[in-house]
Amino acid sequence: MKATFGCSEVHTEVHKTYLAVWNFYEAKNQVQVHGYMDANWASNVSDRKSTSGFMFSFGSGVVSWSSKKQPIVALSSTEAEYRGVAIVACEVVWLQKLLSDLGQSVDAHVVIYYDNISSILLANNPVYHARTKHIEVHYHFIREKILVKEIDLIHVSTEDQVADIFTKALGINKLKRFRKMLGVLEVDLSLRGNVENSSSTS
Amino acid sequence: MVRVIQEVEPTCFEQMVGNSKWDNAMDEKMAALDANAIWELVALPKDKKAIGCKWVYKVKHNADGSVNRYKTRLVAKGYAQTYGIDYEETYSPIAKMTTIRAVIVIVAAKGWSLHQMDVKNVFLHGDLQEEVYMEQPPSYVDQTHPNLVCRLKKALYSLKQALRAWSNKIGEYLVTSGFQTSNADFSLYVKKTDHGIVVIVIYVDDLIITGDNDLDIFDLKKLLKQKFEMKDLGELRYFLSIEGIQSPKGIWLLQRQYALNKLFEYGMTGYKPISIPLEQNVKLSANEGDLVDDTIMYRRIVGRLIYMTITRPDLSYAVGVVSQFM
Repeated sequence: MKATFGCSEVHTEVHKTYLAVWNFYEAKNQVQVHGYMDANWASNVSDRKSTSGFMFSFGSGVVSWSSKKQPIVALSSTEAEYRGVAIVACEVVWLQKLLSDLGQSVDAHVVIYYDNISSILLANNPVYHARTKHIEVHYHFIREKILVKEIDLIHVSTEDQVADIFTKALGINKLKRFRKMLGVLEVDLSLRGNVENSSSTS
Repeated sequence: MVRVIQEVEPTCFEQMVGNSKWDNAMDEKMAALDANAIWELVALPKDKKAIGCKWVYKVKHNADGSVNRYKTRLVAKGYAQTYGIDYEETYSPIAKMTTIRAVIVIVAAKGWSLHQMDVKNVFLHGDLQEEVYMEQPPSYVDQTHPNLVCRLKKALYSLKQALRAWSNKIGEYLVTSGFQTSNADFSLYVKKTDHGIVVIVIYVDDLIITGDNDLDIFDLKKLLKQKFEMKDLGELRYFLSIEGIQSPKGIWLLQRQYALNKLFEYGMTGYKPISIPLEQNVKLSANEGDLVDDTIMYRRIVGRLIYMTITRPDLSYAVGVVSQFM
């Protein structure tokens, strides 16, 4: 049996397992940072603002993530996604700095998986577009990052877009699959004596 | 059912007078304050005001929920301070959770050892630049000089600048010991040694120490223990209410005990389970339906849920949604 507090699962009778973040990445010479980014356009029904979300991993466990309602209304899904990508680019710069401070050799090239094709096209190929005039700054920022090859936007199918978990409510199947991709897994607590002892008393 | 031990914590001084557990804890605290020469008794200058102070009580629990110790704290009534008179700058850096996770990921990958220390009486280490006067603590008033006040020389809990004084102090010390402050996070300090690298993350009074050489870690711990009053907690197990499990395969971070404690605290242990954090296609609105009776409680629970997302990123969206209605 499980008891649940709002949204967090807590096992009370069978308490041998619990969901936890698993932090681990294979020992490679280089830290491979990669991220997923997604935006849900006009997701908020009352003010029509969009929600953007991203996650970064160095391997299996998620290290950095965000789920945030955008501060201003976007006129198109491309615009919403664009703003999201610009925020993600800032996070990339920061993560790179953090890793190099921690004495890790950093891959200069970060891959971000992304499912909005129009934004990718726009970022890779600067064609004039009337609907993008007002998002110029975001646009130039991400363009520059792509030109100097700091960021590589790669298309991923919606089915594998794990950042979805940060922008909308998901059904049970997708939730379970994405949870795994985030490194949120069930840990067997019987491995640990003291936790097991304290909680087995009823 | 789950056993969650809850000792009742007194909320005010009058409630616990004569309770020996707490009396001992207070005596211990006063001894620490005296040993650190936190203040000197002086007559209050005419143009100055003395702020008040009070005792607070806390039961500290272990990772398994059992009682660790009874803790008391003398706090200054910092809210009575005036900007420009008895405090100036108050900003103080605090480690980002992302930084802590990044460090842990590297530790897991490289097989480094991960250690934890905590600073006793953390704020009492911070030197005070400003002139701050405080009344003598309840039940410890100097009988021969009851009219004198304490001129604080070091920071005390709840002073506006207390946190800043401490982080300046430890930061300066680490820099003079050859550490470099990270530009990505000002609470991250890194030192390159002949053998490799030592890393230290500071979260107020909790310190995470790691590196690729155990000897360097050992040396750093020894130095810190000499300089500040510290407790060496060994390998990291329980940090900021987060449990850490290290295995040869990797590191787990979980907040199981935290979640259980909160369930108990809000009387929700018997609630019906759900398998998804937020139902699909449910539109929440601020303008329709009945208002929540206890808005303070709502905010508090949302705060706890936000804390839960540290190890449960899958809850982030749902927590984000409920936090839009505060």
